[in-house]
Amino acid sequence: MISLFNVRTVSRFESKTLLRSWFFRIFAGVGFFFLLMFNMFAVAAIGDGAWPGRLVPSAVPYFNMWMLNIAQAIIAVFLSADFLGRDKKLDTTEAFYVRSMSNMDYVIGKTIGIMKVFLVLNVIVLFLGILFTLIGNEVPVNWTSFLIYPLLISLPTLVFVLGLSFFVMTLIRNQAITFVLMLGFIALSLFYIRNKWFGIFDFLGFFTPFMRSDFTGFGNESDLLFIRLGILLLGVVFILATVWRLPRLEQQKYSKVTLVVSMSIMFSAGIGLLLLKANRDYGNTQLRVEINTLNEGLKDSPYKIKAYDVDLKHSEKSIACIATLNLELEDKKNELVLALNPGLKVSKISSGTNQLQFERKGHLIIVKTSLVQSQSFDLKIEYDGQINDMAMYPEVDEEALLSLNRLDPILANKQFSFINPNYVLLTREANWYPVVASKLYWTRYPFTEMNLNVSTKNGLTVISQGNVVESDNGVWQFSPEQKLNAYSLVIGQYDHLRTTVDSIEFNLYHHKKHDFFKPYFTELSDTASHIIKGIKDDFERKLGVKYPFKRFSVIESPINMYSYLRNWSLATESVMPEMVLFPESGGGTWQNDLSRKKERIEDRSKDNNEDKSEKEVQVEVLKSYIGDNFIKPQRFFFGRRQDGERSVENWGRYQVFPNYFTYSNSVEEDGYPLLTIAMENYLHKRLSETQRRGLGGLSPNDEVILKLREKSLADLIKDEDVNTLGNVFASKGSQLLSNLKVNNEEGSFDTDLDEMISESRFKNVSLSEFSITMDELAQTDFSNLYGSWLNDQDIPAFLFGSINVWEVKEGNRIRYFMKVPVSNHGEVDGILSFTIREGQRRGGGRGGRFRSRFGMDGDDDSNNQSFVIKKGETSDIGFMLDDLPREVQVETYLAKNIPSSQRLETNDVITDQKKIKYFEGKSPSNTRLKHSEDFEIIVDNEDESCTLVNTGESRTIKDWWASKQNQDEESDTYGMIRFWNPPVKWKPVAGQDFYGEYLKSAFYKRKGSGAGYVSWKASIEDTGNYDVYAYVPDIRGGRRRKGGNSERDYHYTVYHDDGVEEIETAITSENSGWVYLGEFYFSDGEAEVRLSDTSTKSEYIIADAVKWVKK
Amino acid sequence: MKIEIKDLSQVYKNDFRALDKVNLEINPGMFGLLGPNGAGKSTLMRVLVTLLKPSHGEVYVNGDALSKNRGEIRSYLGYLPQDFRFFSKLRTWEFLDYAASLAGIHNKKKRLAEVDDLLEQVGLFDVRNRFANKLSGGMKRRLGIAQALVGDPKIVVVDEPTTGLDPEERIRFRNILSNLSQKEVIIILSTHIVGDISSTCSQMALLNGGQVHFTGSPEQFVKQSKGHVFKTSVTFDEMKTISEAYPVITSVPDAGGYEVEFVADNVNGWKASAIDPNLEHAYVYFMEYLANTKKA
Repeated sequence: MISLFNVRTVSRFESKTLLRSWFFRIFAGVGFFFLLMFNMFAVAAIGDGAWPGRLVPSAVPYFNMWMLNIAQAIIAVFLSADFLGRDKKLDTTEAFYVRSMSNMDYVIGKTIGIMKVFLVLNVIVLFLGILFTLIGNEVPVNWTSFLIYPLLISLPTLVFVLGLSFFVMTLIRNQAITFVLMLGFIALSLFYIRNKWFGIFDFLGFFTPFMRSDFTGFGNESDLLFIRLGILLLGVVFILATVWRLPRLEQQKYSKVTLVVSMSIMFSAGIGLLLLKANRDYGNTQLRVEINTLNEGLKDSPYKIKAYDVDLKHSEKSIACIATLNLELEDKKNELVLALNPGLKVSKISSGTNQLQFERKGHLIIVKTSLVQSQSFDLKIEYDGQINDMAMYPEVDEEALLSLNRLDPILANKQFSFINPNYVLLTREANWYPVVASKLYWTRYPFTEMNLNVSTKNGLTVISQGNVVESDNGVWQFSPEQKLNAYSLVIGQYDHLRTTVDSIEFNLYHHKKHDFFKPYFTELSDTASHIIKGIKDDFERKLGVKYPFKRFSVIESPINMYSYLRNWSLATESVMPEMVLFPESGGGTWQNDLSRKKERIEDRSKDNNEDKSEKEVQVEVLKSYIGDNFIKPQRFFFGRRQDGERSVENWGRYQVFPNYFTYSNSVEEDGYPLLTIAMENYLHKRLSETQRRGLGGLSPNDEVILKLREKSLADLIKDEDVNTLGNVFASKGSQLLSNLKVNNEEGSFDTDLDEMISESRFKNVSLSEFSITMDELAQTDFSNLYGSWLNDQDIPAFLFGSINVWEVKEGNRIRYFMKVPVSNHGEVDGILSFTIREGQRRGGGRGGRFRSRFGMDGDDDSNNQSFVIKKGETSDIGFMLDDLPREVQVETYLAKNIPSSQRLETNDVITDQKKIKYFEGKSPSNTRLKHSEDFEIIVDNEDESCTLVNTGESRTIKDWWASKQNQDEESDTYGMIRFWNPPVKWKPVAGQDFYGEYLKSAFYKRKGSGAGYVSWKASIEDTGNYDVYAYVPDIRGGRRRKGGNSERDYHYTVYHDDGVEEIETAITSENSGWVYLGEFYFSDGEAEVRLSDTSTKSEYIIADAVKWVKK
Repeated sequence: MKIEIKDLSQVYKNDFRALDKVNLEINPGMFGLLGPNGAGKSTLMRVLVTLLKPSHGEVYVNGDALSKNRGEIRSYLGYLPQDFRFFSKLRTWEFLDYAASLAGIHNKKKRLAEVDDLLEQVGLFDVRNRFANKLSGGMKRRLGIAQALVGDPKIVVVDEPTTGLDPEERIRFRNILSNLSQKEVIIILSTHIVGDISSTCSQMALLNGGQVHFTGSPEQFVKQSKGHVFKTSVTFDEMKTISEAYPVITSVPDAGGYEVEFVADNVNGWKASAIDPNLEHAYVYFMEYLANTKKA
């Protein structure tokens, strides 16, 4: 039996010893200091570096425990390996071994001793969290979380790490090797295992989402219980195994037997729990496979649902529904296949008085309609149960599914729907009401009428689309004004704020405790609606269409809610018709940190010597809050984009845009909804500002160009997984509409399109209808254009000539004439779109950018014009400007040109030719533009005669690590320059600053020993003297920036007839572009120039192009 | 209290016999275990204090087999290991407190009183708050004996307790043990320092090569060598010859050369007078002559 007294004694002295050990003191001190700093600056927002995650409920205890857990796992390894190591070395231990206590007493005592010490550490850290949350005073302290997190995160990890290191130590009996093994195991789990294999190996809890919502708790309680308890039990097993392996003769006769028996029981229990979780996940994976297989086999359905009548009863953790569907048979009779979430069990299907037979396969319901005779009939479906989240988003691949929902840096769960006793959230994707399962049905959003009656328990607010009436018997009746293509349902305990703007009802539903935003808007009770109206008007002016609904609601939803961006739509499930499901407390993003936002605005006005009243500040806070979230979302990422998700510029999960198009317009297409995508992206682009990519790197559009190099869109759809083609659809779509636009010579395309969109709202527009409208709009044969858009793989290729600007006199005015020579060398016609900004940047500094971003400027100072350039055509494009051009940006859409959006350089303004013949628009030109002159030979990095030599990489561990990081983060496509961590091998980069005929690219790598180099070889035909130039783009940056213009040294070697010349050139912002290397004599044959990877002043080398110019 | 050791053998993996069929009977009082390094003393002691399970044989304490009653027997054991030098970071009194707790003194007040009492006894009371690893070598030994004595053990096993102690410390140490042997306690003392035994032990055993070569009282042991210990004076030249021929125990230089004491079965031609042997003489005689013949 265990003697409690002995255990207490051993543990008492063990903790005493540990608390006195310097190792523990230093490690714990460092950890404590770090967390103190974190809590002080990030949580209490003392100073400038507040962490926006602090606003999310339970994030503070979560983060503290999460960080502490790693630190204490490492400390525990050292301490526990030390325990037996110390025991072995010290004969003093034997003096205690001969005392009358059981081995169990001893090991348990030791373990508890160590745990006690960590308990102290945990308590201190949690205390810090509480203290600084109170000081910060923005969100209330969530006391239960401060209790739950240590038990959930700290305890299992600690027991497991202690147990395992004890046990490894008893096996290996070598302290150093045990350290290495255990730390290696921790590193392995952090850097490799992560959340692989159903997350059951994540003993550190580093990749397990522990975010706790104030609405719905963890959401994955059983998963957490299985994993954490499983790990805890295994830890206990290891501790018992240590008792078993302890180098001390046991005291009791049967102790070993008892020990082994209890070990096996706990081991089975622990493993069992983990397997249970794994098995459940595996089952879900299988379900997804089944759903996808079933979906692939779907055919076009002759049935259409005209209207729904749904009665939904919510009780505890389930819903029970009676849905009456009004169906219409449009074609030959066939079996009726419906889709409904497989978590919902169908009990009865009837039509009139006839009860119908049905079969359930995965998510499908196959109804035998032989009893139904009419073309139009009602079908009553009774079903109840829960939503199986894993049946949602079935086409989302494993990688995206497993990617972490990181809220910089802690992890939220990914829940797609909720049915809890006090909370329900169902979106269209939950498939909580049946839809017709026809081919590609999940990409279709047909408009259907729905009347919804919901009953739930008292005290809960029910939110859905349409006008709501709460009847006396507690039933909420929703009757939408229009047919909608998505219905959602939210039930919860909400506080409700309401205002009416422009006869649209604006609602804000927030958690009863989450009113932290209120103090920031105290002065706005009478102005808020004006501000909202202003923003709305700006937005609609830019977008061209009006808000189609009667109401708009922002509904705070659980932090663990997640939605995926699909390939066929810019809308996620976080936006539903009339509503945005906004993350709890703002989701811990920088833009939703109101106090910091306010401070920044105040600081800025102080800097600008503006004296702003509290009200003015609040106005700005509200504007930027709305702008950042719903109008023009800004996505801040640290590092790379989110795993497995499509990247769309100027996109945000909560933007209202889908309400203006996706949830109000639909074209019925046969295959993939390409036209809907095209329109959606064309409209969305009106909202966007092209981002400058000074550091290189490819925009999503550029990546699409690379992808379309050898295939037409139709080929791609046939050959590749459509789920990976989101950006292709978007770019192609936007190009299609842009093409149509330039075809309309009256320039009325956009206004006509807007009108067409407004008129076809909430209607299911057939393809033929759409085609006819487009013919009119674009004054062209739409189906012809559409066909070549879909099937042609040829693309235009533009060359731009040198751009001159003349100061001219027009009447009495001085104006500026800019001429852009351009050629299309491609196989097909192409379009160009110029954006020209004139004069000095207004406002300047942060304020200016801020204003323009959030639509505080009435109008944009840019001027946008598009042109068609036919294949083989060379033209000059003339612009008359009132002011000097500041920036000339050209967009080439899907052409050979990469980057597809580039800034063109203009020559110095010519002032002495005031009489030049100026013109506006396109004018044919006879001088066909050439990439290079006859007397020069240019070899670019894209040419075959440019070769790379990589040697000596990975000489140091740092290099090896860097190269490993590169592998992780990049494929072999063109990246952007990473100053802070250049690659050890030559890597391709692309961007407008590089040289190239169509593809502006270069190679770069970190500086090396000189063993690596890039070689350009030209075949010289005419013997003679040549000037040799190398192209070095003016790109600067990186760690060792000294002043504004850092000089870099590049080492070129020119191989010429008289020998070999090594040339060291200093590259500065003045001496860049084509850098002169010297004049050399070459006879016919091969000439070579090399660029070595050595440099003393630059951390990285860029290799671009070399030219030989005949004298 | 009585310990019987029956047919005890310990064979290590490399076939080394550390103990070879040892049979001993130990009664209350001080029991000295004498033998050269590697004789198996420590192995025997480790078996006695339940740190080691013998390959063969059994130890009976008051008739109870040791291997079956470890818990009980441990409760009246006190043990001072040979290499008692390294301590974890505990203060002197805490160290004793730890030992006292494990020795079963649950009552805190009583325990602390006993700790103070013991510290007083071993003369460590003044340094009770010093960290144990900061104590001098002698103090550490004394702390060692104190922890072995805590909780009134009935069997005290001390392994090579006096190694490295200065004479004063050694005398103090012997006195502590002697005091204890007044009670009905078995004290087993292993040593290769003969003086430790002669001054304190009432019984002894001589261990060599894992075997018991002698058991009995020290007097009996000394008696064995009577007539085999001699004293003579030799010149410098003779010194070499005699030391090659016989084990010389002491050699004191004098005017003409040395005065030497040596052991021998027969004095072949040396003018030497037999003297009364002491334990040390007996030990040397035994090791040089008896052990060899016995083995042969």
